Amino acid sequence: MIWHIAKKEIHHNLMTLRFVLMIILLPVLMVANALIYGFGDNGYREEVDTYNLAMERRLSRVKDDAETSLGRLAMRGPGEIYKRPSRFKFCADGADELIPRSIPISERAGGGRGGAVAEEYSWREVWTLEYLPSNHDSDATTLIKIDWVFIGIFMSFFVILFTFDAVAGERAQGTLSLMMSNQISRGQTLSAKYLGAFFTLMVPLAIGILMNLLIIYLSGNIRFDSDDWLRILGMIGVFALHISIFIFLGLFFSSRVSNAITSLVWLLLTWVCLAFIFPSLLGLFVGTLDPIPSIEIVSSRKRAQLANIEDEFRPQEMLEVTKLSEAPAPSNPSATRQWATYFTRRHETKTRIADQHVDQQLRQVKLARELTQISPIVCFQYAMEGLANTGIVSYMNFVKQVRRYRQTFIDFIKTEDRSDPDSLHIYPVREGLSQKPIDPNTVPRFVEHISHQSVIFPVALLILFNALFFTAAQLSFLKSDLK
Amino acid sequence: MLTTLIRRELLDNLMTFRFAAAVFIILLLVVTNTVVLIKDYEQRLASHNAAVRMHQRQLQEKKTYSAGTEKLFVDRPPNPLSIFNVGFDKQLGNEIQVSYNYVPSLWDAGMHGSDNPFMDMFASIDIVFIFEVILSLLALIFAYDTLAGEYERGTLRLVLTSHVRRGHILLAKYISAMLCLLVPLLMSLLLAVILLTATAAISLNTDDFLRIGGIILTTVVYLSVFYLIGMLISAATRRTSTALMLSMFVWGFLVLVYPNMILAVVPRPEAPQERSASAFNEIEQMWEAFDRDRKHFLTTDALPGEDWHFKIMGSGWYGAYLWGNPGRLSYTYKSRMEVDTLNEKAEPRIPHAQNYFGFLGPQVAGTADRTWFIRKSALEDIFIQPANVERLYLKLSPVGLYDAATQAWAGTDLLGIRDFFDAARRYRQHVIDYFYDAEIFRSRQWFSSDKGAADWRNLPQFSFQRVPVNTTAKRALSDMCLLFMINTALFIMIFLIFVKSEV
Repeated sequence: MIWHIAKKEIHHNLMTLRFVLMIILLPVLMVANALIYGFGDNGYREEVDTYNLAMERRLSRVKDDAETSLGRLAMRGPGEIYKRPSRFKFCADGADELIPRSIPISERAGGGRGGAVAEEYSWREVWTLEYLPSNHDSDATTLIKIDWVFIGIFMSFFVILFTFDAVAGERAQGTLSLMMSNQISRGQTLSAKYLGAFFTLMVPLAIGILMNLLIIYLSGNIRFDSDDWLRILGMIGVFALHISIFIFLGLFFSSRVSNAITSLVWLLLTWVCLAFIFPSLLGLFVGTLDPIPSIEIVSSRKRAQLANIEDEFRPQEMLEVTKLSEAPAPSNPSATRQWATYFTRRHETKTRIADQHVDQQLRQVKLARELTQISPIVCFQYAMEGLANTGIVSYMNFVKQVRRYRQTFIDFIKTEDRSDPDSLHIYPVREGLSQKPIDPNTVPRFVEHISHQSVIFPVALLILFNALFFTAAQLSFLKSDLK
Repeated sequence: MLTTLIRRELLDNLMTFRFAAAVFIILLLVVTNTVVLIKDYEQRLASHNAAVRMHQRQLQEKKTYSAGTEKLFVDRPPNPLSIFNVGFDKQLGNEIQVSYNYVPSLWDAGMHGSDNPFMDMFASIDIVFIFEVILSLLALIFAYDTLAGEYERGTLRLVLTSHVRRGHILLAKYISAMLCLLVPLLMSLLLAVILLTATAAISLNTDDFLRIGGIILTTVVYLSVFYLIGMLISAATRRTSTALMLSMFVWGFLVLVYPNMILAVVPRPEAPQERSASAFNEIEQMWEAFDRDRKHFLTTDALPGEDWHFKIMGSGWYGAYLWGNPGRLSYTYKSRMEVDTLNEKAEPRIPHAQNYFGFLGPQVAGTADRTWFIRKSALEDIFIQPANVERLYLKLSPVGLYDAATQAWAGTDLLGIRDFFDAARRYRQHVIDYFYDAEIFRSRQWFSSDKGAADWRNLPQFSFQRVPVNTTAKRALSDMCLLFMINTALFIMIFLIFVKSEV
């Protein structure tokens, strides 16, 4: 019986103007998306080319340093570490243009200070990670992009237009009481209406997605492997969950009020709040609720702490003898140890402050993201970003992995250095480390692992929203009058 | 008769759920949003004040004038009316160095104030956005059944049996619906203005209130466009269900799809590489000519050699070089000398150094002024013109026109931001005039603080006043006129359809 009513609903929906409008607009948007991302100026291919070029430069630098000496490699580090561009930016752009594409490393070198014995010593400080505050190359004028997420948000608007009169309309026409006079429970009626709307909406979506993927495939710019197809299937599943929430929401309001237009007004206002107002307002609210120290304050704190170290090791007053009066050399282990302490203190201070600051920034974003997830539309967006490996969470994962790699690289240097009997084994001073070249192929490489853990929470919330609105719609329909 | 009709329509609209919902939701959203936006503004203002203090401190710390000119910054304060329409207020640079050796422009500005740039990914919404999206939707919901509903119910025939002109019916419906839409608009804006005036950090003057008046007027015209679109659909379709669906489709397209899609779909005009290269080349040549003159001066002065620092260093810093950035077409000659103590042997060379810097300063300032004319026109061609073309595409939708007009009223449009840089350029001229009058370029403190540090107390102070309200109105006028024209065209179309339709 459910299928019978669902089929009737589907037939009815297919004949409506709203279906015609949707079957025109949705594929148009999907095709536009495919053309923009498949053939556009800043498409995936250009990003991959830039990434490959940067990787080549980085590897050649590491090779040169490794072939010179381990000491040089240890001081200059592994070079700027780039984030691999995502194939799925067309699905979820994730404000990608605001997110840094790489984590560069900072290097500092110079000569000795006047008056010190080590005046002629040209030193090089050990490398540190330097987080960029944002993507400096970005000329983004708008954050909203025509990606699958935008199309999904637009589609939820259409879902509302499909469901606002699902019960209220039948009630006004009197067909609801007629239907209820048959041997059919209210639960079955509601499920049938849900299925009818769901399948009607999935048809244009499926057509749109097929056209989109076909164009992207034909463009030849993006190649998918089997894992990617699974991710696309996952995204379609997230789409289905998202649509389903709004169908339940529509059925809830439609059965709650007597007039279809009242139901529409409620639904549209709820939709606008969920799609635009809550995400922006709560994001802005977190910024005022949980302020973090400004970039200027962090920089001045860093400068002050580094100045303290400078004062301790290389006082401004031109004393005859300072802790760094003697230049480090393989023949002078005590001076080399002093320089190592100096460099280590500076390195630790810089690393601690930089890591803490970026952690604070990312924690603030995380809090804002958690708050905004009271909107199912935002959950949908985050789930899509998680599957596409775009957005700020992908950057957070990247930062974590780069930090792990930093430790791996340092451990590698120390291990390699231990195998050289001529070395003083004093890290991180060039003269305290092995001066022999090493095989560049043994240097650990940074490999970015894509994690889909961030998908779990928003998907769980989407399922929860489905259950919640299903219950609300059921209860509302069970308690509603037939006339 | 018209008054009776208006009264009837007004009562009809006021008693509806959609009116109650409109008032409730708009009030709630505007008030909540204003509170959050005021907090955000206060943070930005605090950040601006901190930057001003920091720049003043950094300037005071500089003991020579040549070093100080590298630390002379002016800061753009956040615009309190950005709460209505944020425009470019947060997006574009808000600090700029003012130096004799280059003319400051929008492209040289830096940014301060964002403690967490990652938070920018939460798009900030303003009051205009709420009207743009929600009130336009409500206007369509008010309009979709205004004629179609009467056709369906048969009440139109009844009304037309009396001696009522069709034009009067349309006018009555239009006026009453607009009055109903004005209620939530004015109430919410009144509350927003009360909140703004109650905030200590914000002080609004008469011009600001007039600007807010301009924003209200533009909002009314914008809402009228959407109401008339709904009415047109209602008159043309004569069925409420069809009118509703079409209205929603049109709203979705005009408000959501078009403004977001058009910039991505329309190819961005290619930056004219040749124009950029030729302008940079020309600028570079002018600076090279300057450098030749500079070297010629050094070789022909009383001291042999080309040493620009005249070997007078005791302790301190110095540096001088030509510096260029082809991407931004900037090119300049930077020269800084910060000497704390001088060698006694250097004393006879001091007058020569003073003479050289007295020659150099005006030369550098003059070359910067001359290259600015080339740079300005090239930057306009390369950046501003393509941006204007993109804005034109956006203005094909009433949303784009409304956004542009309210940005102009609020002073957060591109021209409003550029006013600040015009003020920075005027300030630079005042500083240079002061340097001439006080013979700073020629002074010992230009390069050395051994006999007293540079005195920054008499330096002209920077102040930035927003342009008068009549200039703002002129900037908003073209977009408002277009909105008016759309209104008129829509009304004529509705009238023609309605007059010719059979009842």
